[in-house]
Amino acid sequence: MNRTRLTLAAVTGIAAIFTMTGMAVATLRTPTAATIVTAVPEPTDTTWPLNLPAAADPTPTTQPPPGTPAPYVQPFADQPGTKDLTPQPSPTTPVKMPAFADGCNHAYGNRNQCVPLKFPPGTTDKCTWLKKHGFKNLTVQGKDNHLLDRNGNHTACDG
Amino acid sequence: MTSAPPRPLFSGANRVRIAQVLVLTLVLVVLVPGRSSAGANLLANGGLEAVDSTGFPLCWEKSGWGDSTHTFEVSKTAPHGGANAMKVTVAAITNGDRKAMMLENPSCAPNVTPGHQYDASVWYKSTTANTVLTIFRHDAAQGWTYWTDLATLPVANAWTKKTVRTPVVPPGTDQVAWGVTIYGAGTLQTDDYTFIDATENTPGTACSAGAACTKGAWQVMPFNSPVRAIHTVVLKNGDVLLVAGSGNDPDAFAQGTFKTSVYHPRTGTFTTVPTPADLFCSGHVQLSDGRVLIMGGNKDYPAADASHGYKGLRDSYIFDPATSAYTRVNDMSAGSWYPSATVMGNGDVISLGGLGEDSSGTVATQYFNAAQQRWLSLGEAKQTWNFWGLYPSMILMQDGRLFYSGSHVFGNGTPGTGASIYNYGTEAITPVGGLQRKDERDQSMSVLLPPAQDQRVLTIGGGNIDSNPDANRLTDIIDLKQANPVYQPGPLLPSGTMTGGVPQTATQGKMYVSTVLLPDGKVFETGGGLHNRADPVYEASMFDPVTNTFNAGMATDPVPRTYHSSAFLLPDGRVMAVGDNPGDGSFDMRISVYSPPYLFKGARPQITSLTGTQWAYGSTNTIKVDGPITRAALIRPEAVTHSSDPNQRFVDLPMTVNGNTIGLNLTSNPNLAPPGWYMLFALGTNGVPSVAEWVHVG
Repeated sequence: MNRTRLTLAAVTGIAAIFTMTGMAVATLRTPTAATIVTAVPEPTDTTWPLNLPAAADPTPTTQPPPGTPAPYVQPFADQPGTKDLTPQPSPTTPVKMPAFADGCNHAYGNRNQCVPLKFPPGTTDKCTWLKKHGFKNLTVQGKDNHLLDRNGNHTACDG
Repeated sequence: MTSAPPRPLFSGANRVRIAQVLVLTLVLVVLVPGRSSAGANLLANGGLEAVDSTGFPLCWEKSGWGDSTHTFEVSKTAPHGGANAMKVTVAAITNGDRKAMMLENPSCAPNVTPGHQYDASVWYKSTTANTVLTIFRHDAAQGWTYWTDLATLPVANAWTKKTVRTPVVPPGTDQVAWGVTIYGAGTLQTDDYTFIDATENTPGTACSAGAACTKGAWQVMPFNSPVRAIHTVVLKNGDVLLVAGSGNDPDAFAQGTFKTSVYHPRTGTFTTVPTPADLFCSGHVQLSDGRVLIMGGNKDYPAADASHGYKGLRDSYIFDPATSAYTRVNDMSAGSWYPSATVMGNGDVISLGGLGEDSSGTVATQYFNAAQQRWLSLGEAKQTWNFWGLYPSMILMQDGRLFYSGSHVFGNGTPGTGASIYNYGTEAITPVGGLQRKDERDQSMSVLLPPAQDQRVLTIGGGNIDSNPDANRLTDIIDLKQANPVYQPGPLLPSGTMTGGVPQTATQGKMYVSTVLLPDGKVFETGGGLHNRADPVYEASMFDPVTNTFNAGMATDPVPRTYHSSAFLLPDGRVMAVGDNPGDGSFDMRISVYSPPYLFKGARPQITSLTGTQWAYGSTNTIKVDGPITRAALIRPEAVTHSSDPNQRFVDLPMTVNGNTIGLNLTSNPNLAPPGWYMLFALGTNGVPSVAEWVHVG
């Protein structure tokens, strides 16, 4: 008994059934349109350098030596139908960020410390919360937004 | 005394019964479809001999995509075996590929068993190295889907056999189909395909370590870190760079006291490194030669009266592990406090976001040219003028674009939050949807899930230091293989306990979380806190990318790990954790080390030899091991701070197995494994990883 022949006979028969019933599958994986190239925004702020060399491209400019495969890249995440974000113009004003970007109110403490800008949900007594979290001798050096310096001696939670 | 005649080994009846069993076994092997048995070729018409009415081999199809001039031919000229071979000629190609593929139908595609591994073999001749053996799988839920690329086939003028072992077949898979792709001009001939079950027997994993068998175990080191280890980088020699700069200590800043130390895990010792500037709040990434590029840092702390905020340095340095010294390179084009740092497929580095010298948001795209060893000037780099926030997690995709995962640090509704895909080459930014609560992903952590070839990203937890809600339990997973990738909600983070063992509520999760890729392909998540620099959460779990589930209840680090904490993989397969900087201004200098459960399950496989440590893309690299292994992978050493390391990745190395000699097939795509030093791990059949060998890619 020749296993190969048997297998081939079975395959041929089944394939014939598929062909007759139109079930044969012939898929071509087709990619979608290439990413849309957007115009390079021109600097408009005179503080930014102008007329500089062309921008660098991450694609290597040298060809690989013979026998070295080119990178095989799959056509994933083409994002068909997705609109690019509108390009930003060269900034003329800075992107303003809060001085206390770290979420700490640096008007309190010795600058190593971090009294939160906002206390966690459920906090009913800020001084109790601070004590529980290890804050001691907490100075008040700036604006007392949390109203922790009730006696005005520039020390929080002592009166 | 007469001796009895020699007794036959088998009686006549025995011989008949044996013959019956043999015939029955043979019939069953031949006739029963879909059953994997060692040695049996599971492919229909692997020799390409049976053809249909058009003359094309039965059970095969012409497949491919893109713009090319190509032909498929059933060649009768000197096939490897039988009368036919497949010849695909690509005369010219703009993009895409072509391949002869097994028909993806129940009749032709080989049946497989989840948990098994298979050896795919093909005889071939090729005039181009632009070939790759690609495999698809049929998933019960998703239907036919791309699985992975297994190996590049080198140029061969004579018939050459290539065999490569699949990864372990994922759950839900019942069939696979594969073929050899040609994606460059040339001629590829193939013949005599085989697909054989090569599953190794799994030995018993007797473990006598009690809870550590399933939860792992932590050990707090008997010594402290000499510096506030806010930035940590695993070096190519296995040491760990610990960078504090001023260490979030304004007094140290005022005194100009900046610190760095190198930790030597093998000896438990430290080397002090002179630190030229306040590298606190910098970005960092390993260059292709293993040196570490440090960018930006802290130019000033905020004023108590809020007249100014944190300010970013433009300084940049390279740390060399060979000399344990920093060398200054040219300044960046803008100040960078909390900048991102992503190494590209060509070894260059792109840095985005952060705060500038005047505390405003840095909108410059900053580009480090590795060949020139310098930062390009503002006009030399392509600009979008987009603000990306602070420490935006920018993960390199397989096509060279950057995926902004939405994981970031600080900010509340800051412009640029949310996920997107950024193409440096075209300067296009396209939004990506689906990320839950995008403004509460402060100090969440994103990680490219194993393997990198699968192109999926997991984002875990997060909070908001400004509005200070309870940190969340959300996870989001995105599959960047999809045409239009969108985040999908993942499983909720397991709940942990707070100080004193108080259980978390059902909605409480954590920020300041660390995710660490492990050599067995799982993701260990550990550490974290509930609020802005307060309320540590004691919880750790193991995420399995195959099942998209958390295995909850891993052992928890006894040391709180909230703000300014990090965890990372050591070359010996353990996980090291450092740092904790709560609001009271203290800093926990303790070091803890986690031994995952796999370290309690038996002997470790040994990589007994390595033919070389310099690996080219698309190459097969030979190692020898002392016993069977199921998987090998490269893990890029971490460079992490503030729950951000977008360069962490696990690159599968499909195996060509010949006993204990293993060929490891490296991808041809540098975007999947950017050039640099990697930790090579081999995984034994007992699930235990080897200690890493260091290899250089690219």
